[in-house]
Amino acid sequence: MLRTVIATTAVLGLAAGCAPDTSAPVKIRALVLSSNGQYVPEEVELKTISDVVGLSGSVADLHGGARIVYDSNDQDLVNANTPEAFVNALIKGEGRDVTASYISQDDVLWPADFHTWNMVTTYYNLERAFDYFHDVTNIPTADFKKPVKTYYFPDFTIADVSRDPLRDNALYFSAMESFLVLPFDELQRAPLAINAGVITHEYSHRIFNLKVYAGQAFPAALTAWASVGGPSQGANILKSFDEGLADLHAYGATCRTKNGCDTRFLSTSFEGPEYGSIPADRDLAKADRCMDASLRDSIRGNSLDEFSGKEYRVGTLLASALYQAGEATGQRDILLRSIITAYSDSSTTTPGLLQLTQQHISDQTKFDLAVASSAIISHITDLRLKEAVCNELMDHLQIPRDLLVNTTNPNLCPPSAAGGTTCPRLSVD
Amino acid sequence: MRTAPVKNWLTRCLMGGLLVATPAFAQDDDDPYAYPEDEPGPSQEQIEEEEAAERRRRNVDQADEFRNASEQEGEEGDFKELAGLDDPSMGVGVELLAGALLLESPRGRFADTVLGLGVRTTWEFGRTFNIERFRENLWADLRWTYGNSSDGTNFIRGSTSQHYFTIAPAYEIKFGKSDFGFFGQVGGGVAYQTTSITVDANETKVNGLKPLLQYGVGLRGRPQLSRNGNFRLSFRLEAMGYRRGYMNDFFLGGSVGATF
Repeated sequence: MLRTVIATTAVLGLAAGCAPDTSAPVKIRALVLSSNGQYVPEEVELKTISDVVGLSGSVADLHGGARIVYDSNDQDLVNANTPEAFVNALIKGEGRDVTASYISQDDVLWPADFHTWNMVTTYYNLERAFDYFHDVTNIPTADFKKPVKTYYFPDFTIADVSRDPLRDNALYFSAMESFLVLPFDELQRAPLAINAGVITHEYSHRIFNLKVYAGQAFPAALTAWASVGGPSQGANILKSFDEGLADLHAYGATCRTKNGCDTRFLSTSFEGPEYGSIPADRDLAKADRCMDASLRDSIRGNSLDEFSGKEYRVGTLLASALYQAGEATGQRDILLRSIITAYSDSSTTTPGLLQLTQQHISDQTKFDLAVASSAIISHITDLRLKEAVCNELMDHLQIPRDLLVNTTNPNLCPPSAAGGTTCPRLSVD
Repeated sequence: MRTAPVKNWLTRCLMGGLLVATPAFAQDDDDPYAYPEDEPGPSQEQIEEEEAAERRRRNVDQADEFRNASEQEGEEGDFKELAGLDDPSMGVGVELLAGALLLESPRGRFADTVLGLGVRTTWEFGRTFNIERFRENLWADLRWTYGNSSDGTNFIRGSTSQHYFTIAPAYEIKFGKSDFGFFGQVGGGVAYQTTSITVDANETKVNGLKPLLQYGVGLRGRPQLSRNGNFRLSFRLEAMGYRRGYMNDFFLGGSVGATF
C-alpha cells in the first residue's frame, strides 16, 4: 500500500528560521500499533510537550549524541563521591538536544525522517506510560518528579564487558536517573523505542526506583546487599521483582491500546535465532511456569553478579502468577493498583517493599520471596483477588503455604488459600 | 578585431569593381565581357607586393581599432568594448556539483553526512553594468542540490530526499589579473523534501516545501580553454550553508563545468 501526502502548505506554516508552534497539545503523527497488530503512522496528540523540536516536556527530555562510558578503572569514576560526580564521570560526550524535523500538513506535524519518527514515537510512548501509571495505578503527578532525561541512541559502553558500545537494548539507569534508548543492530523488527510495551517496561523501572528505592541513584538496600560479595538473596529478589513487575505493568498498559491486551508485547521487536525465544519466554499468559529447585537455590546462594540473567526467569514467574490471578478474577486494574501501593507504605500493619527492605537491610536472608510477596498480598483488599494471588504465588513461586496463611499478619492470605496445583511441590529445603 | 579583415576584403572588392574588373568577379558563365585570356594576369612580383600591402593595412587597421577604443576609455560604453576585446564570451556557465552534504542530525550527532549532488547554471550578470569591478566579479547561480538519507530496520525503514532549489548572487575577488578568485555568496529558495516511512510492505510518503537560505564562500576558477576566449573551464571549491526552515545543513564540495 502506498500512501502519499503532499504538504503543500508547509511553506506557509514554517517560515524561515521558525520552529513549529509547540503549545500543547500538539497534533502529530507517530507509529502506533493498530487494531490489526500493524504499526501505522497514526495521528496522536502530545499533551505534555513544551518543545516539539527538542522533544522535551513534563514527561521526558530527549537528548542525542551522548557518549557514556562505564569503566571501573576510570579514576574519575573511582574518585566520584556524589551521584552528580558519578554521572559527570560517566558522560564522556555531552551530546546535545535532538532536533526533530517535520513537515506540517493541516496543522498536523509529520516526522520528516526515520529518526524523527522513532523519537516522536518514543516521547509518545513515554507519555502513554506516564498516563498508565497516573490514571490506572493512581500515582499523583507530583510523585513522578522531574522529566526523565532520555538519551536517544547514545554510545553506551560498559568497558568491563566490552570496548564496543552496547546495542539492541533500552534501559533505565538509576545512577543517571535516565532512560537510554540504544541503537539497534541485530534487532531488525520494530525498534525498541517504537514498542510501547518496551517503553512502559522501562518506565516501570523508574517508578520502582522512585517508590521502592526512594528515588536513590544507588539504592541503599541493593548496595548493602550486593556489596557483601557472597550470596545476596535480598538483592536477587529485589531485581526479580523489579523485572517481573515491569513486564506486568507493560502488559497492563497494552490493555489501553487499540490493539488490546498483549501478553507477548515483545514479539513485534524480537526475532531471530538469538532473540526469537524471548517473547515466548516472557509471555505472561503461559500458565505452567514453575519455580524449580535449581532456580530457588540460585536465589538463595548466588551473588547479584552470579544471578544476572536469572532475575528475568524469577520475574516472569511472579508476573505470570499475578497475571493469572488478575485475569481469573477480572480485577486486573485493581491488582495493578494494589501492586503500586505495595511499593512503599510506611504503615506498620501493611509495610511496603521499601519499608521491608529497610527492616531487613542488616540481614537479607530474612527478605525472602514470602516477605517480598507479603507486601503485595497485604495491599489487596478484595478477598477473592487476594486468595487468587495467594494461590498463584504459592503454586508458581513455590512459597510455602505456612509462610502466607495463618501467620501473625492478618493482612496476608486467607485460610481458604490452599495453593494451586499446576506445579509440583518442591521440598522445603 | 575580427571585423578588420572583413572590412579590408570588402573595400578591396569595391575598389576592384569600380576601377577594374577583378578576375574573381569575371567568372560568371553569363558574362560576355570577361576575356581573361586576352588580358595579362598579374605577375608574381605584383602578387607579392599586394599581399605585403594587405598585411600592412591589416596591422594598421587592428592597431587603429585598439587605439581608438583605448583613447576613448572613460566614456560611456567604452569599458564594455575593451572588455569585449579581451573576453568575448557571454558569461554563462554550467557546472556539475558533488560533495559531502552534512544534514543536521535529528538525533543530536554532529551531522548526518550523505553524498550531495547537483547542477547549477551561472550568469555573470555583472557584464551588463559596464563597470570593470563588476564585469566578471558579480554573478549569480541558479542551483539544484540533492541528497538522500535512509535509516531504520528491515521492518521499519525511512528514506528522506532533500532538494534544494536556490538563486544566489555572488561577489568574487580576483587573485590579481588571474582567472581565479575568492567569492562569497548569499541567496535563497525553497527546499523540497520527500520522505517515506515503510512498515513491512506499507509505504507512506510525505512531501513538503520549506523556505531555504543559502550562504557560503569558496574558490572559483575559469581558465581559458579556447584561443579566442569564448570557452572556459570553470570550477569551484566551496563551503555552503543551508538554513532549511530551522534546520542547518552544509555542503562541502566542488563543481566543474564550462563557461561560454
